Amino acid sequence: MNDILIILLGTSILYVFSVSRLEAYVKTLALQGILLFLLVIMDIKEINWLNITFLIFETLILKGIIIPYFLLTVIRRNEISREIDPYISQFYSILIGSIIFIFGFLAAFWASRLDAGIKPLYFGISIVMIIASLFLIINRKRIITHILCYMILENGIFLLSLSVANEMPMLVNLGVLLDLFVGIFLFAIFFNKIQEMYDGNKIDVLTELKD
Amino acid sequence: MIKTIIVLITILSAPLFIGIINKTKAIWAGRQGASVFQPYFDLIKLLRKGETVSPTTSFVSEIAPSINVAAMIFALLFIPFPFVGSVLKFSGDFVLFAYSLGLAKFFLVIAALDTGSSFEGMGANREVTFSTIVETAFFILLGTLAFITNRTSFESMFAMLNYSSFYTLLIKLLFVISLFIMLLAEGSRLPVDDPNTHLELTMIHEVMILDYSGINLAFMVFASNIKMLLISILIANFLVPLNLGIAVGIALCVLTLILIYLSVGLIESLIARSRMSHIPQFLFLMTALSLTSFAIVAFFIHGVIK
Amino acid sequence: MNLFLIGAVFFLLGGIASVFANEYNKSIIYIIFSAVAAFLTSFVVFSVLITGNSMQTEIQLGEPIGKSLLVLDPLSSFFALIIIAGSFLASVYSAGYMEMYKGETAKLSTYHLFLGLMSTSMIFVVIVQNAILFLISWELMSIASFFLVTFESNKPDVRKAGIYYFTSMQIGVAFLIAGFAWISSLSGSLDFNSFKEAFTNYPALSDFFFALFFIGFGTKAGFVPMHTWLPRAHPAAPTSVSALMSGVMIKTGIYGILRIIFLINEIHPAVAFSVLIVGLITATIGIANAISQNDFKKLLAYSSIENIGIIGLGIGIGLIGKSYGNNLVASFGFLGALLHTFNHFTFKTVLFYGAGVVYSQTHTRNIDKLGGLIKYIPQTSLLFLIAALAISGLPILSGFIGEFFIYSGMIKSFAIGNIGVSIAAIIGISGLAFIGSMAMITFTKLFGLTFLGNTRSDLHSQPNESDMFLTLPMVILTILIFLVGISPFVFVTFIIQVVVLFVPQFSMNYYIEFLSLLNTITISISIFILLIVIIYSIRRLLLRKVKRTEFKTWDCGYQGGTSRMQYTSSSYAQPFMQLIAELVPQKINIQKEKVLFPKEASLYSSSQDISEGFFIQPVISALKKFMNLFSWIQSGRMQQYIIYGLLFLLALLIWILGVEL
Repeated sequence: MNDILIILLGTSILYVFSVSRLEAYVKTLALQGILLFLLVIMDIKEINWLNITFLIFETLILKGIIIPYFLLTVIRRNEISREIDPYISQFYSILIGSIIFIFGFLAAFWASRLDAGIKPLYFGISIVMIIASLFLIINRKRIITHILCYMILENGIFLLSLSVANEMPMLVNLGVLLDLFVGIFLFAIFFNKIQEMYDGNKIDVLTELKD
Repeated sequence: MIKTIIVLITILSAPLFIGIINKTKAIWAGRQGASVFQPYFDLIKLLRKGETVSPTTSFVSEIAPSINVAAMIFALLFIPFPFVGSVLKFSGDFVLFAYSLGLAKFFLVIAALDTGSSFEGMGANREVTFSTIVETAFFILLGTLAFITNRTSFESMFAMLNYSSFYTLLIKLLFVISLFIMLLAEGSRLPVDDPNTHLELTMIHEVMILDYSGINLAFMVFASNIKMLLISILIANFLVPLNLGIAVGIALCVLTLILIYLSVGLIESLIARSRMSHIPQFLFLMTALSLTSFAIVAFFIHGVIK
Repeated sequence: MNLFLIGAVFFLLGGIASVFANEYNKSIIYIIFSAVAAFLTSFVVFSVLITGNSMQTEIQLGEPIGKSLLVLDPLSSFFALIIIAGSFLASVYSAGYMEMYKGETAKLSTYHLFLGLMSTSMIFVVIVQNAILFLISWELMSIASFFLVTFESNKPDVRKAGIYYFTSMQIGVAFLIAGFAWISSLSGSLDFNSFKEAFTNYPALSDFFFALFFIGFGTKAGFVPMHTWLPRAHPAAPTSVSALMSGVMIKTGIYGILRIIFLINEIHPAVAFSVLIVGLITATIGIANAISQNDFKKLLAYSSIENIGIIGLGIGIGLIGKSYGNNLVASFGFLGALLHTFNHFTFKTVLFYGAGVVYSQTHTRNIDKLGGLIKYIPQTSLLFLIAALAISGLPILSGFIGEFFIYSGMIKSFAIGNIGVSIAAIIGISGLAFIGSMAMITFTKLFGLTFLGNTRSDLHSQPNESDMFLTLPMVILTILIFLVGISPFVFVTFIIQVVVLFVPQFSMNYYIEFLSLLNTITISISIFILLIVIIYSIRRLLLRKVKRTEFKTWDCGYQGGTSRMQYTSSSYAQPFMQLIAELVPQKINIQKEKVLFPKEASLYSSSQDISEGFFIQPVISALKKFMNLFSWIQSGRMQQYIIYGLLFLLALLIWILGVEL
């Protein structure tokens, strides 16, 4: 059952590669949040109410509901609907996405050969999510898309941490939450400010920040 | 106490010595000149006159002359009179001596700036510039004196300075010349400053008291008279030998002072005022002499004897 | 001891509390908290200083800090006294000064918060005896002061100055970290007491250690050539912060140097001579640059550098005495240095506070636009005059006593008999005299041109005398200046225990000798004051009998005189600048067209700090050239940076997974 959920996660990444409407990104994000929640629930071995509440809050509520809703509002308010054509054309980017997918499975294979006590499939798909989201960031031109792909990166890291332990150590959890906080709120706030200052929300203007 | 009487006599005799300088200059110029007591008459005349005060000035001009006179008298308390010693003494008192003169100078300068006149500003900045050179050289001199005699207060330094080896005489000569240059600089005499000129571009000290009148002017003139006397007594300390009786010694001291003032008068009659840009060079001579004396002490005296 | 710690934390609590107060009460709440803090801590401090018994307590923190001792020995208490007094007075002054920034509630909250943080961290710096905790407190102090300096962050030059300041601090801390890391590894523990043993075990290395720590602490103190942040940070910061930084914070650098001297204990003569020379050079460059400044806060900043040089000179003399075994010289040197530290705190704070009053009333820092302020703000002018007299080292006031002790140390060092020492002493004496006379130029210029004469430009609003909050700290400090100047033995009683720390063979004989010397000085100065009073009374008596008229200043009959014709700050300094033209080069920029009929022309002159040209600029340009070679890495495009990250990640994956197999 777990494996199916993980493969679904990986497929959602491929879906993100191919789509260009921003609302689809957000819905994928919500889906990933729910999938992660299910994964966590499946693996609970002992009932520690504090921990369970925390995990439910983080995965289901935060990643699955609040953040996608927040981003959706931002998108609708700024009336962006589509992503601009990426640097590499759609066809080649999907091709590269598939290669990354395969590479992830290879990584899972290698990981299974090691005696390190990590769950190989978790590891592999998390590698897929991380590398793929980085690639997506490179490829896209809108700032809001960067934020969305950054969220996917966070999901990948969460998955990676799940692969190492059944319950995440508090520290990594807190780190992920902090990243979420920083990323979302600052980006959202700055997004509005950037929009006010520079007309438009493409990332080329950010090159002016260089020394 | 004897010392207090001597101090009082010294204070009161300060204008007399200035009279000597003026008389010397007059005689050298072929005139008969005013009497040696003329400065007293001038001071008394000033004390009876009214004051004209500029509305630009503040309490600084009001108190500066009093502080000057008080500082000069206070400094006099540290100067050792030959055979008698100084009224106040402690280890390191020459620092207080020099810095009291500095306090007087500070107030003189800011009182000059107080009037808001550009003439006085001119005098003020020249005065402080030249005093850097003179102060430094004076401290080198005092340091060397402390080095030779291994004592730390004026009175004991001069008491110790009496063994006559060749080097000590040489040192004394260098000190006398240095202090003489300091006398010319601090007393506002030619070639550093002309006390008779009233051209603002050439004055240093005279222009700083340009706006004083009446009692304040009397105080300022009196203070500068005492300052000249202070330095002259220091010079006299080097020149008067100490191994004669008290009466002979005091007479010699007074004679030396008269000689010093006569020489100042002579120099004033013979030399013209240096160009403003040459004055620092002249003052550096004092620094050079002090440093030379230190070098002699460090390498010859301490090398040979110690 | 715990009382002390609670008191120390109260400054920070005050800062936090004032964040939550509403706009009108912020300063008042902060004053209340800092008053409580000062009250709680001063008892402990005074008892340590008088009895000489240290107090300590221990706190246990997690790794890697471990166990840390918090010790209040006489050295710490002396500096703690300065910090507490300075912080409390800053809180009172801020209440008045920050009126200028009424309405900017958020900024005021940050201001008070960081003021509290800075005060508390400074106190911890002087009591902590664990290397890592010390560095943490040090860094907190630097960060808090950085935020205070960039208070007016809307101005670009303030931001630039703040960043320059912060960078200099970090470079200094790098040296400190290096020093602490090295000595901790040699001694095996982080505790300062273990460093003592390590220093005795490795005598050959103590010179290198001293150099490392001296550069590190010297950056904070402001020794040349690490001083370049001072003339940038002080004008940029609001005046209450400048006063706190100049009066208190740079003294923590001196504390560090003294602590290291205390730990090393066996100082070689070479180190002593170097400290003396560095002190002299610092003081000379400091005051020489101060003379040529037109911005009065920059002038005061350079004057702080000069006074730090004098303190360094005093420490040098003390070290010479220590290394040649002459206790009298050592005692005088350290006594002079410590007394000058306290004195500089008092008069520099008054000067900065007075400058703050001038700035808040006239909104300009340029001396060339001021003048004649004594008629509008007489009380501030009087207090400023007293502080200016004190900083020039003139008698009756406290500045003289500090310099007197340093002079005494140098004069007595002739008795050591070593020719090197004697030459160093004469250089020291002449140097100090030269510096003192230059200080006289600077402060006659500062006081005379700002307050006296006529106003040189049109001040848009008439300056008014400031309110109680601004004047009260100045009055308190001025009273202290007089007290220490006239009766120094009271204050020396407090410092004597600190001197005993450095000169362990300081016996009661010396103490009695000191006391008699100080008594004689008190008597002499009282005679001086009496003379002044007598002469002035004579004047007033004589004045009753004569007439007094008013007429404008003698202008040789020229009827068109204006206030612009007075001497300006650059013209006042010009003769002296000509003398030292090599030491302080002037850059003159003349724009004048060569045409028949005169048109508009302009002249711009500024003085340059040669130590920047010699030391700092070449290093910066070399670094820039080196870094430019790598500038292609930063293209400004985010994609490129992510590619860097991605490539690294891939490489790492392949290496770990592939190679490991």
